[in-house]
Amino acid sequence: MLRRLLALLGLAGGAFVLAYRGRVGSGRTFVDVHYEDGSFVTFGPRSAEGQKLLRFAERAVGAVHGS
Amino acid sequence: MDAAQALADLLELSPEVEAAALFRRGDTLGHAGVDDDTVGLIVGAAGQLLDGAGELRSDGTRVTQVRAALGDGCFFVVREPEGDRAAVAVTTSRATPGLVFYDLKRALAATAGEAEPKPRRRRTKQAEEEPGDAS
Repeated sequence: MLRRLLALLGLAGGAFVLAYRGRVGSGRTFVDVHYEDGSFVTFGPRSAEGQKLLRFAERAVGAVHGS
Repeated sequence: MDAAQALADLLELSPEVEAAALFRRGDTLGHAGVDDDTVGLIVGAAGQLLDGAGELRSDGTRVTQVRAALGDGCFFVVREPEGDRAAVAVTTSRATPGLVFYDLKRALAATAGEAEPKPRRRRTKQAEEEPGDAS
């Protein structure tokens, strides 16, 4: 029983690591904002804040790649 | 060091950095990797990004740096710790964030004092006498 539970946990952990690495890969879209008090916040593309900030970044990256 | 030269050095040392610029309140102080028209767009976007990120904190805490990762590239903005200059870079999606932030901060530090003419130091009689006193 314990062996089966450990195997299940191992499989779940492996799946999590693979999913995490996929998200962190080059295809992921997000914004990291660092503040002077040492804190930082990450906004994803689905949040309103993320969409607002990513729009500025897309404009700049698009301008460089289009030039 | 001249801002354009510092940024040209940055691009040469970091192949992941495609374009970079230094600016103050929307005014470009130097740029590399892009033409004059495009740098205006980058600097404008960087200013809006800093302002937009700052508005997210109600306590007025200052934004020091921002990294936006997109599918086809990354956008970095770093603000001078004490001052109103900032540096911006557009990189490939494979850039190492820590290195890009470091390079931009180094470019800001290397060009500190270049944006404004340095005040001329007046030689006082005491300063003229000091070298002789040291021996």
